[in-house]
Amino acid sequence: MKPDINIALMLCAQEIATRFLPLLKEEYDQSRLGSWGALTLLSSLQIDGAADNLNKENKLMLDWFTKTKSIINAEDLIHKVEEVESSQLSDIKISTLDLFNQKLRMIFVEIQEYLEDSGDSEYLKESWIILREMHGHRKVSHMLDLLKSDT
Amino acid sequence: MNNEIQLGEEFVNYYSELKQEIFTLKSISRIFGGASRETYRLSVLNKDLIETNLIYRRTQSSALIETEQLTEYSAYLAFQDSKVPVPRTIAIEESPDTLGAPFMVMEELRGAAASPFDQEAYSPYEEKLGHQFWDILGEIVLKDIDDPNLASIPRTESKESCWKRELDHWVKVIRQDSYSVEPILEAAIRELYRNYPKDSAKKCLVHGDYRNGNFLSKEGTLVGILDWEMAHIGDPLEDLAWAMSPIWCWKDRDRPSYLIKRKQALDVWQKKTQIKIEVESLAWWELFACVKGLAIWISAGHEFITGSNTDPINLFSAWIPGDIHMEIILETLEKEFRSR
Repeated sequence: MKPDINIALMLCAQEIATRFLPLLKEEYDQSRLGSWGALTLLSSLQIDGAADNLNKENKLMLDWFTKTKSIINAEDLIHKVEEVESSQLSDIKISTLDLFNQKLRMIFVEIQEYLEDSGDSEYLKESWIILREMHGHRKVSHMLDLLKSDT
Repeated sequence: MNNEIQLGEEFVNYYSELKQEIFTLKSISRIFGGASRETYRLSVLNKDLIETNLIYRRTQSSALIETEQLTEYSAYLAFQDSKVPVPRTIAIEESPDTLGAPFMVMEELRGAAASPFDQEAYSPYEEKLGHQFWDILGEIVLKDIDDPNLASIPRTESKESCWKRELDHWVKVIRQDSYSVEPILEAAIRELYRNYPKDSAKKCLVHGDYRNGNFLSKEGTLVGILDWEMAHIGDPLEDLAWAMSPIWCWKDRDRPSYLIKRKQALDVWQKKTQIKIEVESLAWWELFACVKGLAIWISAGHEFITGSNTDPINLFSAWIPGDIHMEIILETLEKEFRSR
């Protein structure tokens, strides 16, 4: 088995921080390389679960679309939902899953807006539970301590 | 000769001409952070070897947020020798012909800046600095907006609401620079347009990025308010809500900008401005702060993705602060929908 990409990135980040950063004299260069090191470390922690998270997000949104379809009275929107429901992805590359995810997100926004206008609260509440879960997949704010960067 | 030294030498020639005196370059170093300008700390010597420390801010060929140098410079000019501490201005050059990019020059203030994400940054002076920080924000609100120095600061057409001008502006940035669909952000935008705030009776100068990290302090004294590039004339609650945003006190939510408690901060500000805070209007501006923040972070990500500016600060901005603002919106709107 070859070493995994996430392990390689993690070691790269460590090497940047411990071996190369101390060699730089200029404060600006130090900060810039330090940021690259921290961002590489962050990537190493995210990459392993990226495809799985996208897949889960897509399934969550599709399930919600199927449920809400019954109360949507807009032909165009129903057509969009049916189109994505019948979509078959050619592979499970991150880029393929992400492209489909973006398509689903666009429809998600439209349905949410539709429900807000129609005053439905039950499915809207569900939509916020889904958004909370989706946000949890991408959340990096808890890793703030890794990054000692100024903005 | 490396680029930085060359920049320094070119600058010193310009500065000598400006001052009608010969100066030589002692040192130049770039300051990390803030992707909208390249900022350099310069030290120059005159013929008697007397040292002057300067800040030289050049517009980036690709600026994170498109702002005019003149906006920032005008704000500094308006507050020279006032209760709002700012660096002494020296010169502004809006044309790229002189030194390759528009730039401004100021005297360097002696003081320390801090990361807005460091909760211990101001320890042990949080209390003292906190009172100064919120009091100075009140001073900015009280500034006469008809001061001729503020003539070039962007302002709302007389009939237009401040909230609408600002929201339209930042939504436009989001539409231009978004690289992904964010349902949480879209819900916030819809909420802001539906439930907008009352127009403020008073319009004032808005700093535009008033928060921890954008001021200098020295041993418990706030010595300079910096980064006025997003200044405009607007609603007094805009800066207050921005500085109060949980993003600037993420690990200690009731201590905005990691200074004093939220209630204390509001009291200091109200005492200075004599403006009664409408709770609902402040809540609107606090949600708006998240949308504005996300517009800035999205714009940063756009610069990075398109290769216009691959400074890691742009990637950092899109990932971490972007994520935090998204979470604040999520918390706010979840509560909102639960209460309906």
